[in-house]
Amino acid sequence: MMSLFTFAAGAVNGLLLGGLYAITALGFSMVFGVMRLVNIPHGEILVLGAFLSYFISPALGFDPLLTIVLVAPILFFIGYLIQRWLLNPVMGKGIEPVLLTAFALSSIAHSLFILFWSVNTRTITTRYSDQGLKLAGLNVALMYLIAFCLSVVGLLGIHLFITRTYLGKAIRAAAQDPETARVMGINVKSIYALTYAIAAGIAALGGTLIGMIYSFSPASGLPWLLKGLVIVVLGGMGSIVGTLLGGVILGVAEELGAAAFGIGYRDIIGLLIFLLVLYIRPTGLFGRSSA
Amino acid sequence: MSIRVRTNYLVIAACFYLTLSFALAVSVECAETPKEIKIGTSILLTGKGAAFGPYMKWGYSTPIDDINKSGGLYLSKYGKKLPVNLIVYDDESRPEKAAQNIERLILKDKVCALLSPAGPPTVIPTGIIAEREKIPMVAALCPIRAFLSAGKQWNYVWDVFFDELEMTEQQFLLMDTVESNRKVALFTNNDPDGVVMGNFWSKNAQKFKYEVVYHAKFPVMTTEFSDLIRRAQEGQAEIMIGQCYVPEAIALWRQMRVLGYKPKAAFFEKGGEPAEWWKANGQAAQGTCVTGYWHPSLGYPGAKDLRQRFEKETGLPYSQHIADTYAICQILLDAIRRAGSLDPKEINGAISETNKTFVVGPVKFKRGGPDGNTCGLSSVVLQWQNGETQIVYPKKLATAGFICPLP
Repeated sequence: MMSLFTFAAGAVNGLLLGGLYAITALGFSMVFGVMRLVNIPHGEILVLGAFLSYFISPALGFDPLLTIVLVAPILFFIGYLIQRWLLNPVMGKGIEPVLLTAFALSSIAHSLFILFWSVNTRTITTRYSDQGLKLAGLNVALMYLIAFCLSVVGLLGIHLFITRTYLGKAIRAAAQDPETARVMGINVKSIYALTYAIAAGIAALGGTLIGMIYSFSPASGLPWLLKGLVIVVLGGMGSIVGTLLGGVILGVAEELGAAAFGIGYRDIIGLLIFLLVLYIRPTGLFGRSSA
Repeated sequence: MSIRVRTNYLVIAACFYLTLSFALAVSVECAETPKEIKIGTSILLTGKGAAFGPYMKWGYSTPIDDINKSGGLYLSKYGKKLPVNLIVYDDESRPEKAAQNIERLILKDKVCALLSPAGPPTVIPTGIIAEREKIPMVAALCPIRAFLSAGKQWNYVWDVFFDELEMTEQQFLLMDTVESNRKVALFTNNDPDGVVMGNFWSKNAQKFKYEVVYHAKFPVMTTEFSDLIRRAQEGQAEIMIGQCYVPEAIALWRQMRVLGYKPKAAFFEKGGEPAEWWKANGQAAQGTCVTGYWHPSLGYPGAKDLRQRFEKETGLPYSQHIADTYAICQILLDAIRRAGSLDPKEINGAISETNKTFVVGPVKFKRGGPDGNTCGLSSVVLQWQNGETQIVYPKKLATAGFICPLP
């Protein structure tokens, strides 16, 4: 039987972790929501963000969180090129060419990471990345709290962009009905490229936080991609609020599941919830039906 | 036909017959003389164990490069030196890939002998294949008890590494030299190493009168340890012993610091060994321990030179795994030379008769019985101090004092 302290510690930890999960999944959710594309290279983009922060931060003497200002535009540009020149040409030609291209990109990225940076595991270390603090008698990692706060800010920013700007409206239009959007004069392929670029830019924050909280290596992309998939299903495709709530639900479920049943069940709990939601509500808990 | 004509025909036929026989004899002789000695291996150049890949690759290929520089390995059956060709495949730290690679090496590449992959999850399935095909394989980086836990009587596979029975005593023997509350928290993953060593630590804790207050068992590649760490903290364990891969160890040690769990001593077996551990943690790794089987200061032939040569050639900090892998390659080459042929059975016989001191120390395989085909290396406890590992136990071999409690 779980003690109240263990339950509280697990719930708080899971809530904060959920923020990290949400920001790492946000880009994936955006691409899926707008283009109906399972963005397989998303994991590698997160890892690239971590690598860039890892190298740029000590080189310039910046805090890793500040290097996001430099890393995000780099990833934005790379993401734009990927969608514009590699994925756009194969979209609309069936699901297989797109998926195969995405798989190939993911493999190429993984191999390039190994070629340039070796297979070694790395962490981004700062004077505060190992610090904990007491919250109502519970020990929590300072980085989890920072990650949660930054994630909420990031998600809010994207939400405002999508709902309050002309470009955001164009993205929503392309997501809801690409054909009509095209007729209305929206260059849908450009919108897709921009969406992918924004998703990649957001991954700079996610990747940096992963590097600061955990460790990373060229092989770290796949587990985060799978988490992103679970969160997208939980929260609803393309729903930004849903992504945050999906992340929190997953984080709390994993922590409490591990505390109750053992750490071996941590990932299983998340995947069981994923299957359950997919069965009961395929559009996700907060997603809209496509009909 | 006149006698003269008949005689001419006989002479021509005899010459033709002799020429044909000579040509056939030469071609058979050429077919029987190999052009090279083929040895194969499958190692973890990528995947979760990739931190060990560079050391293994260097350790296996360096003795072979040295032999080839001197013209090759002399085989008495052919009366000449033959170059050695080491075929290396990447198994991505996956047992199924390692098994495929070993089958390919034996059936397609036709190697006469093998150097093993790393770790019980890959050594055991590939060893089974080598046994089935009767190709000798010498194993490194595979603890003895895990090797023997396969439940097989090994005939063609030979293991040179530390024995967990001895290794899992060292932590307690070292802690007996300092004050502590004798409470231990174990963190072991579900790899064969983790399972075997976890069981031995639990038994040895009782033997040495320590108390295991918490034993965390987690799947490989776990990243979140918060709940486990809290339980270890509740048990007030002053000694922490872990057995996991490098990424898990890094995550575990970081989360322990974050949650304020600071034992007096911390042992990170496997994960805390390579230079990557120090590089990822920096000064936070100061004082962490790992049990080892080799150190350049141990005085075995070529040990100090080996470290210097590795660091000069690769630019990487050394690891003890250069020694084990270098040594088993030497063992195999020595056996092939003594066998004098490429016949796997003869090579296997020569391996069984190995009795020599190599860079890891004296090597003589146990023959028959429950420990057959193994040679255990003596364990020492290493502690990370200022970016290098120092021997802190046993005291007669120590190169530095034991830092306890952790700084």
